[in-house]
Amino acid sequence: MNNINAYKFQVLNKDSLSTQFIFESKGERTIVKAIEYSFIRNISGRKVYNLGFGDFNEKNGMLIDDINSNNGDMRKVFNTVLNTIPKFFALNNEAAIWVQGSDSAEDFRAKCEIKCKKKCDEICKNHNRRIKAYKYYVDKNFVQLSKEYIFFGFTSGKNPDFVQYIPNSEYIGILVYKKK
Amino acid sequence: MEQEKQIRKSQKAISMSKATKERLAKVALELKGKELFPQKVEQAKRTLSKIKSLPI
Repeated sequence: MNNINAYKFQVLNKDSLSTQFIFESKGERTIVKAIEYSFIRNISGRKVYNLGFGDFNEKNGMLIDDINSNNGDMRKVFNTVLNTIPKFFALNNEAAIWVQGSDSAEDFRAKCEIKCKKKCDEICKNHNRRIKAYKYYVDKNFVQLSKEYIFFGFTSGKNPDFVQYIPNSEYIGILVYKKK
Repeated sequence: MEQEKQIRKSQKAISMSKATKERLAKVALELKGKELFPQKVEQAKRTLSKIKSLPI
């Protein structure tokens, strides 16, 4: 039985503005994928970094973060992304990681409607799909993860803000700190 | 206990083949010095623009 659950990754860059990793996904196709923690801004004296993730297109040199590659190895890829989090915190112990899917943007629905074949009514079925994958993992492992990390959920609506993370609640983003 | 350790430790990773290392080295040269996901960074800045303080 294959118990190997993630790909090895390579560090591409590590400085105060970004930490980058690349790895090769070997599913139906081989795809180079990239992970980037990008400095957003200082808030309350803490550096906040955005977690970005996507496929590298070797034909045109572009990175794509808004498609599902359906390569048949989603769990391994997801685990690989998660494996970079301790590496990031080892370099940036006091930082916070901000996680939000590209499909959580305010204008996502309008863009989705142009090419989507699903006939959604009020609620766009593709909206917030990526953050739901992260939320599913956090919810499932919340007790164990809480020993090392502190989570906050980001609410949507007129006055969006951070709230204490409660498993199985709806959030459009997640903020993660490493416990001291 | 074993399961607990499994969750907290990083997942076991597949080692890289020589071909993979070479491919990644080539990609690394292409990506060196670049911001990889500028649109995501802009999205994050927009989303967090009104946030004045973080919890704790």
